[in-house]
Amino acid sequence: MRKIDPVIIEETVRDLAVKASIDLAPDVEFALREALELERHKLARYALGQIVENIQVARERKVPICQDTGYFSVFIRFGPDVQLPSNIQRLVDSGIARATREAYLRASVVKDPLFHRVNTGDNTPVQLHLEQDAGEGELSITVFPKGGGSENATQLEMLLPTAGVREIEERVVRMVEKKAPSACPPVVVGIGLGGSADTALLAGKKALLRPLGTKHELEEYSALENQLLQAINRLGIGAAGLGGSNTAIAVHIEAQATHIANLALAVVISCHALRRSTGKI
Amino acid sequence: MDVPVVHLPTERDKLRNLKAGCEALLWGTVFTARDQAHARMVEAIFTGKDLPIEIDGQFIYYAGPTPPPPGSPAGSLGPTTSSRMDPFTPHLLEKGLAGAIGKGPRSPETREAFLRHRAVYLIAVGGAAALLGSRVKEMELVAYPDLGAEGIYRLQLRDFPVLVAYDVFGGDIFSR
Repeated sequence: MRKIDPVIIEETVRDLAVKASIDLAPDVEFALREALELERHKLARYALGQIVENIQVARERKVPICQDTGYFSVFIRFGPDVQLPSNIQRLVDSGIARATREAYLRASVVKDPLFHRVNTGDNTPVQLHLEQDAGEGELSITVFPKGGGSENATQLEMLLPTAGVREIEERVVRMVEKKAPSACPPVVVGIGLGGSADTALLAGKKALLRPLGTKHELEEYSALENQLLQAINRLGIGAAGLGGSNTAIAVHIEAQATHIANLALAVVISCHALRRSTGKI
Repeated sequence: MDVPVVHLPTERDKLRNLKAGCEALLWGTVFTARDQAHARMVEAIFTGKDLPIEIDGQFIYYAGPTPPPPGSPAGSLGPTTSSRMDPFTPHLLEKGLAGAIGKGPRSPETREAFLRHRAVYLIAVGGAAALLGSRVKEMELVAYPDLGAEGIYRLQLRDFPVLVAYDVFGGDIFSR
């Protein structure tokens, strides 16, 4: 049994949260620079120029990439022989609270959605996901803050199990057309297919974690991702909704087993500042 | 061509020079307000109470700042989605609001209200918050301190880059 020191969990979560918030990952920066290079639309170039410049300014000023420093999801993946500390939610919350304080992140979480929208002051509680699917002795932590504007673009449809590729394509394009303009495009589209309504949404969010520029392991899904990306980029919404050919920089699909009567389709959209950071312990 | 500079607050007449689709650099005073501050201000209007700030002739920036790091007047401060303010904006335009800065298109009713009141809607690039925050030279909390980042802050801007989205003649950057 590999027993994990509680202090390491808190420190790692803190460090990953700070890094994700300030220092945009190279895969996302590369995709945005490429978008700027290929864009011909004048207003879209204005927006992409600032988006790319902002990445560098955030690093230099050591301030968050976006003022919406997001609502934090933390994914902990561990091997069958790894023993996590018993107070794991508290340790993760404490890591995020420290990052909020020490890196001057915005406190953006209220404790109740309706009657008591009182700010908790430290971005807790964190949405924690524990998955015992890593190899022997392995432990990895991914910190994923997601902004509220792009979260409002999340959509779910329960399709007939007989729906085909054509219908999925039409629906995804329509869903993106409806919500991408207010989700800070160029967006990254995460699609969760299958499962039940709740796990389809989670799969859509997890699809955003896959590094940009990597292919889906199954050829049919990889081809569908490319088809969807091209169809979305023909919409002409463009960077900041101002037009041009860069409405999305990537489409990722995560598919899973489902019931014979179901075909859940979840579309989870990230703004261009797709911030996530992973560390292995 | 040099990008025109707009000093805020500005005389109404000068808003005529701002044409949809054009760049501008803002200097001077704006007030931040987002969802909850809008809800409270419109509640105040409905119940006949005074607004916490005089908005006649002023500009509102839809934004909630990060806390400034030591030695900096502001941290990151980009625009939030404007359409969430759509139900409230027409009431503020009626009270003399001269313009708003945010991101994304507005509802047809709100766009119509900007035109009716000869006010302008400007957009900044969503997510360019570290860059935009570096153009904020002073930041002071002036109302609703209990709302934290959602309170109303008075900002002094310098060289703050925007595009004109809706001009006073009905021009619309999103419908080109």
